Amino acid sequence: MMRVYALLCLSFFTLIWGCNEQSSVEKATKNGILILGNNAEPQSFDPHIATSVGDMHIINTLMEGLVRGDPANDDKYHPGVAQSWQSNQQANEWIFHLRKDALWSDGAPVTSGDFAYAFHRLLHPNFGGRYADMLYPLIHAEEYNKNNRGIILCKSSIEQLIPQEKLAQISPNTWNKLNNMSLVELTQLQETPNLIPWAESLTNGEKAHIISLMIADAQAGKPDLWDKAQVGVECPDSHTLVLKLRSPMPQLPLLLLHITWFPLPQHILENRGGILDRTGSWTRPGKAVSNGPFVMGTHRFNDYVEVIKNPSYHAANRVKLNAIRFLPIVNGFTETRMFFDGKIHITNNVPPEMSDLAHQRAGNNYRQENYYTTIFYRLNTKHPPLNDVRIRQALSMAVDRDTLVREVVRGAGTPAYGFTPPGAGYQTPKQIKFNPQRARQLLAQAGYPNGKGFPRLELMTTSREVQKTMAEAIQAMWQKHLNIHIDIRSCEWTAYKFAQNTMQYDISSSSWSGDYLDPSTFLDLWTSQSGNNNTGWNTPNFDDKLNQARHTGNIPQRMTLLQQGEDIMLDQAPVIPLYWAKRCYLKRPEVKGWHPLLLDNHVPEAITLKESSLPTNPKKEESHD
Amino acid sequence: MIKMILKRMAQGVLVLFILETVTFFLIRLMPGHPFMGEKNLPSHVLAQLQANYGLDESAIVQYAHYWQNILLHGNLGPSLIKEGIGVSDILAQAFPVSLSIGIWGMIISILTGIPAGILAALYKNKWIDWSVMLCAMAGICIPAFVLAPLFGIGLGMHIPGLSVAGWDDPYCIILPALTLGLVNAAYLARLTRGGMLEILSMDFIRTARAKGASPLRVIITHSLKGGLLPAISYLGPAFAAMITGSFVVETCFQVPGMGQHFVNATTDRDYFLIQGLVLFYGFLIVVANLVVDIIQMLINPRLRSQES
Repeated sequence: MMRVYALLCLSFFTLIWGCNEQSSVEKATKNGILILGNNAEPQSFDPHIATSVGDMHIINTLMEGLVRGDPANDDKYHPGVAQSWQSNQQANEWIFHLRKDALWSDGAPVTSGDFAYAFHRLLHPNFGGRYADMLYPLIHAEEYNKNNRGIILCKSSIEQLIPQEKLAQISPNTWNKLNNMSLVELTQLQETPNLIPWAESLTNGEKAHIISLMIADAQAGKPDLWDKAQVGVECPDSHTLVLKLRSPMPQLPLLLLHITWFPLPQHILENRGGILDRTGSWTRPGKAVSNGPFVMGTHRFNDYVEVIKNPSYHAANRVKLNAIRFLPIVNGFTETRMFFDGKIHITNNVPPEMSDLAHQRAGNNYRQENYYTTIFYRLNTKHPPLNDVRIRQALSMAVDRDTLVREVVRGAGTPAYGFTPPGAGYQTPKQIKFNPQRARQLLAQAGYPNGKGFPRLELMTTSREVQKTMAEAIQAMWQKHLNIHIDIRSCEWTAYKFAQNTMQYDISSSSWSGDYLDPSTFLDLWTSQSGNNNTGWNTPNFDDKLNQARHTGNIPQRMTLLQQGEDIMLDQAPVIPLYWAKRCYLKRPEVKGWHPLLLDNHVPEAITLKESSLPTNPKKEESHD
Repeated sequence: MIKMILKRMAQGVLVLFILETVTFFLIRLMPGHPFMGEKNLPSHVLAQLQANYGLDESAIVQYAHYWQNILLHGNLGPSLIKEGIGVSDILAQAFPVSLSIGIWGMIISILTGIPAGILAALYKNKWIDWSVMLCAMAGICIPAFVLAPLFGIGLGMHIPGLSVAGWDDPYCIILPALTLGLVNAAYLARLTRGGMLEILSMDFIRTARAKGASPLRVIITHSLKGGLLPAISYLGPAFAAMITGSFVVETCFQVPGMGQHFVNATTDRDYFLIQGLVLFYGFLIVVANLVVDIIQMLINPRLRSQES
């Protein structure tokens, strides 16, 4: 019996000892395959359905938009599908000339119609595109996406009996009611138009006109209004695309780098369920069609996604990699171990706890690079005492951000004394200061001298370890500097998100990443219109500044207005900015052409793999010792 | 005996039905919904998404649709998070992975746990017994999320061929199977020891010894049959649990099995995926228990006579 056991064990170990001379990374490097840690398992490769950063990394290798990013600078761009472009003086009308050799991977040309089709799909009110608001800069896009049928029909009716200003006087609520009425309800309304509140300036004839338009629409079965909505996208010919914007936008090309502006293969989608199909079957391995440097190769759930070089890409000769493999590794500890075991070229994230070890073992291959993300606490300004601006300011002033970043986050960030991370030529107004004494004064003025009588507030975090430690540190800072006690509640992600969206929290640990390189992606959050505000705070002053910034085509003036806006916001303190995140990761020396980027959108054709003289397998390294 | 098996099967179907019904309504009581993303959804977009999947209907109608899809079309429904991918596609990819790890884990746990338990029982209160029970206690107490990284760092990093984590060569199965197997071996060893001790103290064993049967014969032919009963009744559900994957082992070793889906589907509120996984897991548990019942009836004549 014992002998059989011993034999079994022996044969088992000789078996594994004798194999695997090379690590995964060495083999991959030889074959020109880049292996990346990519956080979570992707949800979709359809650019209109995907929402996570990891999905976007994959889609960025598969698809190409009008312009192409720069390998080393977030604020630079190059021709992509568009060979050249020009805008008018106000920068609200842009003409793009598409290259003739841009092809889909099935050989069909990429046309301006593919862009218009893509914009139509994302904005289609029955599609349910989560990132549809990315296209709102296009004129009329918002009213089409929100299905404001009444306004669209009035504007597009041939008679155009009612002037625009009058239409604008009708309240959004009235429009909503009109849009949602059935044919029966509308017929009733025709008899007694005053069932709903109209604008006073409207004559009876005008009301009747609107109702008759709505009735005709309901009789036709409320069809898609894309043609009538006149969204600002036109295709004069198959290789010219005209974009008309609702306001001047000199920074438009930077927006176009985002996946929501990419074209879709209309000829394929029309054969696979049409414009409203959400199954994304056209992106699945074996059936996928794309126009970027890579095409979809393999996808095994929770295992890996592999994209392979696309020979019909117009710049295929510049693409040096044969394939990229994305591994969905959520656990940062596992990922770091895998890196040191020679399984990954570049990791997604090194947890702060492993920061020292990573630095010690990997030296320069451990990177901490600025990332376009702010970590902050939302304050529920509807919950007393947080409705008092002095309390909010006091809480913010009592946070020692330098210590927080040094001790808790372990250098994975820069202390944030403003909200918008620096970048894109924007100077963040840094008006927050760590000042415990002033904080205590403010607290006393608000009626809580030395924290006496301060109600127990709750600080909500997700279940991530870093967030919990950070919350404990800040809890201690408030206890020490303000003598107030805050409870910590950590919940799993969806419950956390739900509580935040429905404002069932006092203080909520939050983060925000920019979709594109522009301060407005951070500041738009705090307008009264924003769906992601969730603090209950807004003020007309701030809205005004942002609105003015939107309507100026002058870049320096726009930046000044945004700064003034941020000043107002920071002064009112609906949030406590903590730090601007850094992306901490490990990178093997074989990978060349991978530069620090704020948005982390790497251009795959710039990346090469060179076999390095460094030992890639730590086991061999150790066996020599 | 056939009557008994049929009865158990009918019970199993009932259990599955209740399990699925309770799951269906409980997951809809959790806060949040499947379409919760990083960004808030405008209400018109959320309404459209819910309408796409029939989630705008009342829970009862959804429930009826769900069973209709399963019973009439054999369709477990779509994943709500991975749009366009069916729950059955996910199961089809993840189950073979968990199955292979589970089977290897099972083999490891049987090959180590049962002999260790027998040895401990034979050398009761000797150093062998103490050391086996110490290891078993440690195996039960040390959670897999400690054991897995320890194996990864201790073995995976140093033995060429083994890898700390990943699923890119056939040897990647070794450490996850070892972790899963040893944790279960600990339970098995304790159960086997207990079962064997009880049998070894019985009169018929003394008789067998008195008749002059060799010690090996006493163990193998006389005591094992009865002594293994507790271990066998544990093995059924344990096997079902092992082949459906462990979240901890899978995330620590980066293995694409079913355990990760279980946890992620719940935190993501992927309703159909949760229901599909629960149904599948429940089915395996029911089948495993049935198999255990049959085996026990075959081994233990008393059970057979009781039932008939």
